[in-house]
Amino acid sequence: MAETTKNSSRQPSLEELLRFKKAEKPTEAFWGRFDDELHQRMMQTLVKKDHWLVQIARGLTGRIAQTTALAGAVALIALMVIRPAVTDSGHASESAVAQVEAPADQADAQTEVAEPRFSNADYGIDVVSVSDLKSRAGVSHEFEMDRIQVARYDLESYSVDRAAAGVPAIASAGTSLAF
Amino acid sequence: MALLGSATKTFIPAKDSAGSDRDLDWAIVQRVQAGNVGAFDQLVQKYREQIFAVIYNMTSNREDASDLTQEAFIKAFRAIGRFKGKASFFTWLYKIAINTTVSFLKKRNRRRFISYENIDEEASGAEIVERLTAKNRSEKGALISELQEKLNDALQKLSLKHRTVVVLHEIEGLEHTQIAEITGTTVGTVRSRLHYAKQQLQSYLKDYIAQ
Repeated sequence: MAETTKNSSRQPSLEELLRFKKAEKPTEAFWGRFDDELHQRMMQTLVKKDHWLVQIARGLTGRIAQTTALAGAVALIALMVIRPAVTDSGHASESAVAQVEAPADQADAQTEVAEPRFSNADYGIDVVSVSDLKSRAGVSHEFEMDRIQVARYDLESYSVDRAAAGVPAIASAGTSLAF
Repeated sequence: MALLGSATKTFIPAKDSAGSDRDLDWAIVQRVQAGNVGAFDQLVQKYREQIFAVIYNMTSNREDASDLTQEAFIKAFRAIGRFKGKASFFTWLYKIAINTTVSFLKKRNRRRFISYENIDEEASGAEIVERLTAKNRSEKGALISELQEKLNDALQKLSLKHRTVVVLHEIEGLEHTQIAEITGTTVGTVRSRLHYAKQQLQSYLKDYIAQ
């Protein structure tokens, strides 16, 4: 009892006074609101987008990197495929022109050899070169004969078709037949 | 008569049960890490009052304390995937709370808004209040309000690092080693800061304490 009286009469120490701070407590209603708000904020956190800097950083290591890599691969493949083709066509044009411009005295040989090359070559070059050949070597007949011969094969099959259909066949269809 | 010791209902890991409590927290953390988001609520319920008390005593503003406590829990929730269990969850969470609060107070700078928390008169240091009432011959309610104001004011006069150690040790009852871990300093630094801070507080509160 004497101890209690002595204690109650003395001043509290700093430590005792600071523990008084523990008495500052929120009510139960406060914790109810606190929980509701926290749950809401946590839900927002779960669905919220990150800061744009974070998104960029993620993009650099994610989709953008994938897209960039894909685009790079496509570009590389395109370079590998298209560039040789361009180079080849360049070479082909050059060779076609070179062959077309061959000496005129080898015209017969040139017409046979040059024709398939024209199919690969530019159409413009084709026309020019043919006229060139005609004017230089005068091989228009030879050239036309070739064309007619091709037509004659067609005509034979055409004649067979017509014979089967009861039309008088043109058995000896000459090269001069008009078709 | 409600004494100060019996007024403490919040959980503070005792030295002997710290290991088992740490294991319990770690088990909950692992559940959260595995995708059981709801398990995090157990950690919130367990530590919310302590975290709020620390932040409140650092800021002396109940609204700020509420907001910062939520922010600390959200930060912990977002970072829980990186928590490897090397330290106790308790220490880790306190560290987040302290860092969040210090960062906030640095930004707030000199603007200070005071918004005191309610005093639980049942749990308040009734013995101390009675002693002070008897000595000063003042009314109990008025004395409690005055004491609350003086204590908060004295704490706000301390620098952030001194306030932190006082709050964690003298009010929350954490050990020097725990405070050193939370603040990223040594035990010696904690003791030194505590000694200086108490000297400062004694001079601010000399009218209320035994010299």
